[in-house]
Order: sequence, then structure tokens, then C-alpha cells
Amino acid sequence: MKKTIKNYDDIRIINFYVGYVVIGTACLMIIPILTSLLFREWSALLDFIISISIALSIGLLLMFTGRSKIDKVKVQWKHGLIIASSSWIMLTLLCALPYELSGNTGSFLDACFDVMSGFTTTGVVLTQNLDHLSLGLNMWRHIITFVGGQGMVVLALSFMVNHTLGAYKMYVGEGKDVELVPNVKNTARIIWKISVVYLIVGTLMLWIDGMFIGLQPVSAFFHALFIFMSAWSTGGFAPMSQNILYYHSLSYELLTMIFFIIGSLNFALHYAVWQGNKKEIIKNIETQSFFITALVISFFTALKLTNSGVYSNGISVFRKGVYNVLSAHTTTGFGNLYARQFATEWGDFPVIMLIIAMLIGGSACSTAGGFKGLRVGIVFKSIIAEISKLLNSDRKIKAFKFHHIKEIVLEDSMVKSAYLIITCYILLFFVGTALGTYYGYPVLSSAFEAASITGNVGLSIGVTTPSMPSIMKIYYIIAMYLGRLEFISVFVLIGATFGGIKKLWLRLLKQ
Amino acid sequence: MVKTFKTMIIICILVFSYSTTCKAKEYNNFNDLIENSKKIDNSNISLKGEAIGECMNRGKYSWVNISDGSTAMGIWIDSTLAKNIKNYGQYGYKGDIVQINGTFNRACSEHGGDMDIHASSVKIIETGGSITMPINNSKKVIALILTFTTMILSISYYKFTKSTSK
Repeated sequence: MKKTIKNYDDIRIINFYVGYVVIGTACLMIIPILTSLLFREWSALLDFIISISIALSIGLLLMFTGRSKIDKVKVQWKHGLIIASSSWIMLTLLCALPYELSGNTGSFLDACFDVMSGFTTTGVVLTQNLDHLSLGLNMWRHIITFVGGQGMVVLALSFMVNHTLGAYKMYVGEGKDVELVPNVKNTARIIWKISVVYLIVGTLMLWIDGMFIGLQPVSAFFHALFIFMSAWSTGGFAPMSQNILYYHSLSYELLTMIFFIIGSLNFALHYAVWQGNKKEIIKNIETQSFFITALVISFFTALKLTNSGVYSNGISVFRKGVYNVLSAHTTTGFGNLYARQFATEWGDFPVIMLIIAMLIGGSACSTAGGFKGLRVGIVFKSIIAEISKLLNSDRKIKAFKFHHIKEIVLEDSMVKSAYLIITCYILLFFVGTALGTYYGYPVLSSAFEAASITGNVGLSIGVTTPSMPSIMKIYYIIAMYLGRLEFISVFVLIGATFGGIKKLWLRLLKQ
Repeated sequence: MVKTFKTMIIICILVFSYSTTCKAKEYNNFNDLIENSKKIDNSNISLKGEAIGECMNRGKYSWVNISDGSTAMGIWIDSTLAKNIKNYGQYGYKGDIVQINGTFNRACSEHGGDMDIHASSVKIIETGGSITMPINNSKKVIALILTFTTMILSISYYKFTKSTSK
């Protein structure tokens, strides 16, 4: 009996924090409510009032169930990981309500797909009639991707006053593990401070440029805000269906390129630079890894596109080839091409280059997805270390180090962890590719889309459409979710769910 | 007389065939342009769609994007011609339906490899304008009930928190 009560305590404590995260994120709906109010979008306004009411009510009910236990039960690792992973599921369902009510999605599944795509900063879209979307819903789409980049748990932790003892466990559960300062609450606040400062500067720059390229001042502001939120969070959403191609502007593309590269860098690196340690940019293993892979992939893609005559001049090769490679590598997913052009014009080799770039991804503890530069660097260093060990005598022991904010000794546990996560990503990618081919898509197209989904990129070759099979939509939702949370917290949630079901069955059988 | 008659027939055939070859192929589905881009590169085409977003003036020329309902295409157009398009599609607005004649570029070298159309003429087929967005009455009622429920729950939670913290 005592054990049963203790099990319910686990659920209660999880409920409390999930409710807290739900309420924190639901409150963000006030921004699209105000936008809809300002632009007299009455139908959209009602959609958001209904959605925020449902989300707040559910959040409050969840907090009710755990409120009495909050000071009595200590938050353990399993709680932290389950809180993070289940908050994401709950929020995906609740944040999809405005999409569904707007009538711009084919089904609730499509709405959930787009929300998960936003939260995970993937950027693939199933929402229809984007060019006629209300400003309120467009604001919501981009807030989702901006918050998703930083993390909803991080957002909730920033405002948490009491009950912050288990905060670090929840923070790790959301795929972030760098502590910028000893206190995790303050780390979360620093992450938000960095993002908001960039948001102000970036929006201003894009706003001015937007007016130069012919946009009206008010619309230039909203385009700037939306595009910055998407670029910084390496999201890939844009207010118009043509994505970045809508602007037909080199300057706009260059600005977005700068912002999404900065956004794909580790928050610890941002913080180090803010603290005056500018050399860290050059010394850091992640920036080195990103620079090398981006350079090599861009070079070969540009070479092939030039030799095969896809583009006739250097500017075109840069704007189409290099831009899309960097967009893929930083897992942003901004595109200035039509999805089908990758398949019909680029040819196999550049597509394979993009697949590799998408799988590698950006930096750890950033808004980017993929394997992450840090893991690629660790794997590369471990290979060098292994070769070096074989070449040298057994008596000579050499410690291998790499630089990531500080000098770190390469340990077996780090290498093992890096290989484990990379293996999980590759498995997810192969299953996605196989599923695509099962439904009749060409192998390369299936692989491209699977890499884009697994790495939380958002570039499409034309597979992701509202008419694609529902099974693929569900798989893609799961893949985006697993890729963003980096597997472990989701595995713990699955393990706890099955463990709970097993215990329940055993209890029923005994009775 | 026979000679004159024959010459007239030949002239008629030539004029007719010339006009048919020069008549630009019309595209209503822009995906056809993307799928067959290599085939129709640099050829004269005609396409019909809704003007969306806004006109981006770049001096003598402007960018206008037109949509077939699912795919949009960039049109590089003389700014004076662009002024004929008065309405652009967005939330609550239907854009003018326009017919564009121009040269299709698979990867325009002038515009950094963009797939675009350099327009030579524009014709307004249907004038757009504002659309009334219907508001569902049941939505209003549901919104009211839910707001009220949330307020009650918030107050209850606040009281509950106060009572437990004592």
C-alpha cells in the first residue's frame, strides 16, 4: 500500500512541474491575442482565447494534483527527464489548438505535426494557405519555434521562484547540459537574455533591410521579427509559402545566414564571448568542427553545381548552393529554392552533400539539431587517439585533450556517449528512409527528408506534403521529438510508461 | 489570278503558323513550371495567379509574387506595370487575379539563380479586395464559457496554495 502511494507521488510531482511548464508556455498566447486584437482579426482572436483557456485549465489541474507533494518529495533524475519529455507531448497537443481552430490544417494530426516541427525547430510545414494566414497565427508559429529553440522547460525555469531544487534534472531532460553559472535557474535566464538581446538587434537590422528591399514599414517589421525568430532558433519557418525566396534579395539572405550561423553556436560559447573571451571562437572544438565540415561540404557542392551547369555564375552558386548547405548544416531549413528543385535540378551528389550536412548539424546546447559538432569532434579526436595509441609503444601513455570552453581530457565515457547518440540518430535516419521507400518515394528523396526530419532541419525535397501517408506524419513527429530531446529523456518516459503498465498488470493479475 | 490566290493562301498559312508558335503556353499550375523547368527555360510563357503579399519596389522594376493557390512564383516586372495591380492577397484580402506574359528563367543569372519570370505584360483578370471573415457564433459561446472556467480554476488554485502554505 505504501509503495502504491509512493508511485502516485511520482506521478503527482511530475504533474506539478508539467502543469507549470504548460502554464508558462500557454501564457505566451497572450502575444498572438494582442496581435489579433491590434489587427482586428476577430476569428483568430477567438481561436486563441479558446486555446489559452483550455491550456491554462489543464495546466492548473495538473498543478493541483501535485501541489501538496511538492515540498515533501525530492525531484529525482527520472522525474526530471519525464517532466521534460511529457511536457513536450502535452504542449504539442495544446499548442496545436489554434492551428486546428483556424481551419488552415487538413487535420489535427497536421496541426500537431506543425507544432512539433516548430518546437523542435525543424521547420517543415503542413499548414495550408500560408500566404493568407492571420498575423496572429503567424506570430504564434514563430513564437513556438523561437521558444522551442531555447526550450520550454528553460523558459519555465527562468520564471520559477520556488521549488527549483530539481531544476537541473529537467534542464538536462530537454537536451541541454551546459551550466553557464552554478545555478541552473540563472543559466536559463542567461540563455534568455542572450536570445532577447539578439532578437532586438536582429529584428532591427532585418526591419531596416526589409524597407530597403521594398516592404512597407509595418509589414517589414513583422517579416523581420518572424524571420529573425526563425533564423536564431535555426527553425526555418517563414511567413510566406516561398520561404526566403519570397524576398528575392541577397542582403536579406546574407543577414539570415549570419543570424542562423550565430544561432547554431553553443550558448556556452556565446556566454564566453560575452564575458570577453573572444579567442574561444577560434579555439572551441565545435566551431573548428563546424568550420571544417561547412567548408568542405560547401566547396564540393559548389564545385558540382558549377561543373554540371546548374548555375551559370558565382553569385548564383553562392546564393543557392552555399546558402542551402549552410542552412542545412546549421539545421535551419531556410530555403531560397523550390523543394522539388533539389530533385529535378541539383542531381544526386549535391543532395548527398546536403544529407551529410543535415545529419551533422550545429552545436550542442544551442538551438540546432543533428549529431552536433561537439560529438563529431569527439569522435574524430577518438579516432586520432586510437591510431596514435597503436603507433606508439604500450608504455607511453598520452592523455588526449580537446578545447570546449576549457581544456577537457578525452575520456572513454565521453566517446561512448558520443557514439551512442550518433548511432541512435543514424538508426532513426535509416528507419525514416526505409519508411519513405515503403510508401513509394525514391530512395534519395526518402533519405533527404529523413535526414531533414532527424536532424531537425526543415529543408524538403517535396515528400512532406499534407497528402503524405499518416503513418509517415506520425513517424516524422516522433523522429523530430527524439532528435530534439536527444533520445535519453524520451527513452526514460517510454521505460516508465511500460514499467507502470507492467506493474498495473501484475497487480491486477494478483487480485 | 491563280498565282495571287496561291500567294494569299501561303501568306495566311505563314501568319497563322507564326501566331500559333508565338502564342505563349499558359500555366495555371506552377508546379508544372518547376517540374519542367529545364525544358521551358528561357521560353515565353503565360501564367495566371493571385498577387500575394505586397509589391517590392526596386526602382525601375519591382518584384511581385503570384500564387496558383499552393505554389507562388516571383515576377520581375516594370514598376509602372506593377502599379496596375491594386490588391494583394493576405489574411482578409483576396489579391487581384493577374495574367502575366513573360520569359521564364529556371535559374535567372540576373537574380542570383532565382526561378523567376521577367514579365512583358500584365492583365488584371479579376479584381480582388477585402473578404469578410465569418465568425462562428458557437466559438463565441465556447470562448466565454472556457474563459469563465479558467478564471474559477485560477482563483481556486490560488486559495488552495494559500491554504497549504499556512
